[in-house]
Amino acid sequence: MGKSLDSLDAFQLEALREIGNIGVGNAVTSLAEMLSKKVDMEVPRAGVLPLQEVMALVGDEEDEFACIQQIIEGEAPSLMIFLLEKESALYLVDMMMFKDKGSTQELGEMEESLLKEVGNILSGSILSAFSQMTGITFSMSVPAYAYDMLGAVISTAIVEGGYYADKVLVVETCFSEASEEIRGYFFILPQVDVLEKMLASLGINL
Amino acid sequence: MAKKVLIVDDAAFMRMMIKDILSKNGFDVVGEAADGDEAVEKYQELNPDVVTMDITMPEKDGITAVKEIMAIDPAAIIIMCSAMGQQAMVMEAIQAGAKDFIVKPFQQDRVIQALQKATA
Amino acid sequence: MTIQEPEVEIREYKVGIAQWDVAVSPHKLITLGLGSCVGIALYDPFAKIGGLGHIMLPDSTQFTRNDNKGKFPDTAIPLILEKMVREGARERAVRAKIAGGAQMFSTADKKYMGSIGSRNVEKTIEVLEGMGIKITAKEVGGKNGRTMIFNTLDGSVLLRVLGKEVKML
Repeated sequence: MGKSLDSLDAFQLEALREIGNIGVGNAVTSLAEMLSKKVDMEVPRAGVLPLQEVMALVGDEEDEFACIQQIIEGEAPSLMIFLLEKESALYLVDMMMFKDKGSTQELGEMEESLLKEVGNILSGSILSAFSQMTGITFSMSVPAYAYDMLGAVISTAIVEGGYYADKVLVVETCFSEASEEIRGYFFILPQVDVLEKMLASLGINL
Repeated sequence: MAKKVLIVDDAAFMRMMIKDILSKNGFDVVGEAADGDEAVEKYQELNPDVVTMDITMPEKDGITAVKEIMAIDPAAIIIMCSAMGQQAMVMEAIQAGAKDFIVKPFQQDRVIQALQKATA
Repeated sequence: MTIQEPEVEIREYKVGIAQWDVAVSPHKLITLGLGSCVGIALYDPFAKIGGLGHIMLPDSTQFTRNDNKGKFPDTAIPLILEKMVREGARERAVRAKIAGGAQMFSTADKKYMGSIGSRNVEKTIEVLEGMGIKITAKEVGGKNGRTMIFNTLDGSVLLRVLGKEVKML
């Protein structure tokens, strides 16, 4: 039986943060390629947080966000959540479709498909990095999409992803395109045993 | 004569993008499929010269679809085009019969060259 | 000389996910961003006492470690009711209004288990009916997130939904 979340210490969380850092770094590189622009990321935060605090990392409960969720199955079950605030989502669509900023006013079917695909590519990059580091092979579900109040999308993404505990293990980072106009948030929620497995594969034992 | 292409990807946006790139570079996109089942069906129906194939799809994933298409037509030319760039995945796809593997995000040239080389 | 009653400042008590709270008139209880979760407003119209819960999972008996009683309707509702009664409410007078339980996500994958919302609604109704609490209004299912503002002054529940008119329950 794996350790409980509360027993993770600072060293383990730091390791997780570093793994997350490398993973998201890869994702950000992919995003930069897709946009042909420079993308920066913040140093990731890793922690064991109550669900409510997870939401507070990003915004207020009623803020409008696009959310792409993917469930990672197999040896290392985890959850990936990618969040974009309304304006960022619209601008990202404009950029990816080579339209002028402000062209996209609404997120319809094609825009939804685009955002799901961006989330998909970013997750793929993260998993490739993880896989290279740990030798574990991950498999991903088809992305799921929602656009609504932040509280509603995050809580549902987490519960429907199979995470029922009061606290979740989270690696969170925020990235932005050079002029700050696209801000996206990535949450990686690994099951506790996954962390053990990943650290073990790197020679770190819990 | 332009080579006929079948594009397989669950994201409408991605199918649109690939179709755009290929049409402008001498390929004739004859069909699209959004999942592995549809991919196998359309392959038999349209008999394309080359297929671009995603991996993560509903109903049936891309690698399974490759195996089924290769079983029907051992001469099938399939180029993987996926967000999943993990080593194990690439190997599995090639072993299943894919001729090349493009990781998303990709440069336009990469896709064009891969298809041109495979259908030469 | 007229003696003026000091004006009571109406407070809004926020109820977060898996939490609950009780308030007396004229204060409000509010829970924001209900997705697959269900908001449960309980009200005694005579005593003007209200309780609001925000449950996230259907059934506490399916989990061995269910120390947070606010998460499930079967554990949360009795607790809310108990507190309301301690504050002066009469159990038999209590009515309920519920909202939430949406299917938020869309995906091409038909195997996607997006049923937690509807199960939450089912179980909530089951618990309320089992306790003899009448449900006087419900706004459940669908695909939208909801915010519930519960006014203990009159038992009304205001619902906010993105891109739509507010609705009064």
